[in-house]
Amino acid sequence: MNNEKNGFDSLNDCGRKEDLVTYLYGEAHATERALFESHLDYCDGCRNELTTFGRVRRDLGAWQLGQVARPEIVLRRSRLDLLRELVGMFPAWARGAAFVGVAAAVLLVSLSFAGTRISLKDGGFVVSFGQTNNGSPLDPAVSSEEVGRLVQNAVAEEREKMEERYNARLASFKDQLDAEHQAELQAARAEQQEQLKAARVTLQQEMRRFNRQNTSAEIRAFFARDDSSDPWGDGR
Amino acid sequence: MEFSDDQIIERTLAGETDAFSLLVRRWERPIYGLSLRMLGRDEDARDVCQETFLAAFRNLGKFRGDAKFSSWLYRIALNACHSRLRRQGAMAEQSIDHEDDSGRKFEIADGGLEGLPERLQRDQRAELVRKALYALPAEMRQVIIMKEYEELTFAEIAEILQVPVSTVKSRLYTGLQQMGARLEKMRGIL
Repeated sequence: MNNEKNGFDSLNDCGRKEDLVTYLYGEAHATERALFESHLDYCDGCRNELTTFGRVRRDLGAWQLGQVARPEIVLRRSRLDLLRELVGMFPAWARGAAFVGVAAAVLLVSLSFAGTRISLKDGGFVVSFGQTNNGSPLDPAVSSEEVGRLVQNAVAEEREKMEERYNARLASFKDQLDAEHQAELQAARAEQQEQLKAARVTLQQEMRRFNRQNTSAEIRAFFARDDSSDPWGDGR
Repeated sequence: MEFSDDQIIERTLAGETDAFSLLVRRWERPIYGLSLRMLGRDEDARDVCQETFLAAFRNLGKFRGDAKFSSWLYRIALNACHSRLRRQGAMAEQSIDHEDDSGRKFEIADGGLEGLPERLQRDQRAELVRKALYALPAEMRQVIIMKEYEELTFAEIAEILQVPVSTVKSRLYTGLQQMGARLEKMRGIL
């Protein structure tokens, strides 16, 4: 019997769980029903569970849907379905003719994009491909050497333009770098000036303080001197 | 004369596309009910209903007929529900307590001549059931819904889910057991 783990402890482990739900929903045949009912006579677990499940079923019955508005089902057909339906309305010969017509139109449009020209010349068809810059067909007489030269010229012209662009960008980049360096130099110089000025001020203050201290020390020494032997202070 | 599902399918496949609307009318209510009980929101259920019938219409040519059309339709609807639940993720859990945006009381049946106290009591029970049902894993929930509300047989559910009948019974048993425990707990809180 396949019992999935449910995380709930069950006291009923008689192994008749599937029979129990079959009986509960009235899907047991007469013999199965009789056998299970005789099992119920002695299996408390199944009897209790049957009661519990009956209560759960009554509770489940409380949730009935009321009068709900009919869901609107709009069967939107895909464009492909609609096209198929439309095509299906025409007879087979008409569909065939339409298919040939569409194929021919597609072919002509593709050829025109590829610059193909079909002309009648000397009693036969002439098909040519490609376009010139002014839209006229290429002259078939243009030799491969001329084509090569044209290509080389175009490449050289393009290279020249690229070099010009590169040089212009290089010059602009150099100017930008110079300007940045100049600004940095000026800032450094200004900072240096500021520092020098500050150092000078500090030095002056220090000197003044030193002079003051020196002077007061001399005055204190002068008055502290014992001048009884030398009242004039000049050694007389 | 009432046409069988298979007859309507035949007519639809023969080019009578309007015949499909007969199938829609016949099955829209059960599919809507299943989706509503699986997802819990009227809006989502309507979307799933629409998706289910569109998918069925577009793939009708692939319907082999070895299973019942209704089983096929239920399977499409359940797949759509599961996709939506996966997309919603945690939001699906939050929607348990969510009222319908339009304010419709879609989940409670009309009480008819029922008195107000009885009606309130039944509404309260329905709400408990709804919450207990959403707390179950989807695989158990869907079996209970199909058995209790759609009244499908074990064999039909097994066909829809493409699992053995014993698995259906086992899931139902476990689901009912968990429902019983949760309902008891909720009643205790109330």
